[in-house]
Amino acid sequence: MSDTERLFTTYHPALVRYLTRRLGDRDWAEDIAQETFVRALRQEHLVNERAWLFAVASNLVRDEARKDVRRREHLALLAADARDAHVEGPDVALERALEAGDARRALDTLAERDRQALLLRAEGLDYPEISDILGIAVGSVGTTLSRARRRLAESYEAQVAARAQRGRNAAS
Amino acid sequence: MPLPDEGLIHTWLDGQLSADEAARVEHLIATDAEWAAAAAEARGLVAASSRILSALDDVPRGVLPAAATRRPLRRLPWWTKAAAAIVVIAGTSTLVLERTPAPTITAGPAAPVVPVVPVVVPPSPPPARTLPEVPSAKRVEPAQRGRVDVVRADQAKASPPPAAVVEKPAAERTVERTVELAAERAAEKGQRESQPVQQVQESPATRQASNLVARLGSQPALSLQSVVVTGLAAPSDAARSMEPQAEVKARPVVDTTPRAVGGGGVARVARDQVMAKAAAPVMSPGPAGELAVATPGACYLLRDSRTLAATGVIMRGDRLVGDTLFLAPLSSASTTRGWVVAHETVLRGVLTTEPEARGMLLVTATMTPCPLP
Repeated sequence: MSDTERLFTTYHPALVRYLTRRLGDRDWAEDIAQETFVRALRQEHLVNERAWLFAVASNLVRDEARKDVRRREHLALLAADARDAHVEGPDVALERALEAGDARRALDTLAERDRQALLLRAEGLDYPEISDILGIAVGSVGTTLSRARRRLAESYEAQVAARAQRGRNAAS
Repeated sequence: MPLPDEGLIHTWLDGQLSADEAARVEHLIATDAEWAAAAAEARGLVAASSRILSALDDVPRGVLPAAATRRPLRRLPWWTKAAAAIVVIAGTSTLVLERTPAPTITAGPAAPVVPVVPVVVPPSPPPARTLPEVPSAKRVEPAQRGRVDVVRADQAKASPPPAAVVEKPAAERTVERTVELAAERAAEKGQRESQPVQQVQESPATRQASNLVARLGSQPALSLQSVVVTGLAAPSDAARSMEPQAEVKARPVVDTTPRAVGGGGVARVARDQVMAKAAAPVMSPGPAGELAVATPGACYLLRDSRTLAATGVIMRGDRLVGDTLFLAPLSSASTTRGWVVAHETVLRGVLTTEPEARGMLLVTATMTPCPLP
């Protein structure tokens, strides 16, 4: 297996999952992942491939101009999807879509650093790798993660409660 | 006894502490109720956050509007295509007439069966091949070379394959038949125009059209429209190495499976297989309407995914790994490598060279006939 293929097969799934969770769009995530691999292949030597890939992918996500444009498109489509789901989707699919919406909104309430730390850790990056990517001390990664996890859980519960309240209001 | 350190507990749960530190935290959790409660809460938060994040994985593909990722295709009116066909076919026949000596040929009522050889898509002058003489042969004058036969699918199915006998000069016959074809196409406009034509190329043209029709007719993805045979039959030594071409035009049947999108394109008829029938995880129209099928063994034309301009690079599908088709160069001397990922709408990926990794490009791939070695 060539270096190119090894790099791709080893890290592509995790990178796409990380980016999909972060961006909420699989196509966009794959675009960023492809761009990341192109840049990786241009490097003659990578000390830590995984950390490098996730760091570059994270930097690419920060491309604000692109993010803003596509986020608007994405939000519009999500809204359309949600409307369609209400009309046509089976109960299970609807519930899953609603949960995903709650999770997305909860994640969006986190600070960028907390969100990134959470998603990177979810992909198995260790604390030194996360500290490299985020530019923070290794010793503060645990604190960052604990704060991010607590806020995510609390925010998610708040989203679920708000949705339930909206449902009750609509029913009454 | 220190107060519980939430960050330290999370670090311990994540297995990121050294052995000494981990032992200390474990001791605190085992001996102090506050530490134990904090650890239990942290475990719950780790599990909850993991579950919440996994809910984000259920993201549909292709939620972006097509206009944001693909350039819209410009549809030409039918008469433009017909005019182009006239120019190409007539020009091709003329070129053959000019380049070939003027022998006479004999041909029987049924065209002989010869092995199928894959050919590169035009442009190239239609080559020639000597037809074996048969007892019932009819003599053909030199001016009749370079003929073009158009065989409707229903005719080809119902009757024997066309004999290599012509009665008019090639250019005249070519124009006549092409105009006929254009008229038929115009009449069949409407619903059928919404689906682009697939072209399946086969050489030599002397292969029995009925075999071809039967083969294509059995393909679930193709509905045969017509067979156009170009080239000439000539017994001269100079022309022996040249091969006539047969062009089979077929329309795709729209595949309604969730991951398949119908589209017209170019497929190749190899010896005993039709590429369009090969088991393919994804079928989709390329930027120019070509068929994009992630299939090992097939050849792919690569385009710059940003400009959609053809790179001129053709690579062969090497193997599928999940949704990823790894591409290998046609020449063993080349160091070009690449891969494409099967999206619902297009095959997208990377073209690169190893080991320098220079000249890398984000590309889209569409299936194209493999060039002859």
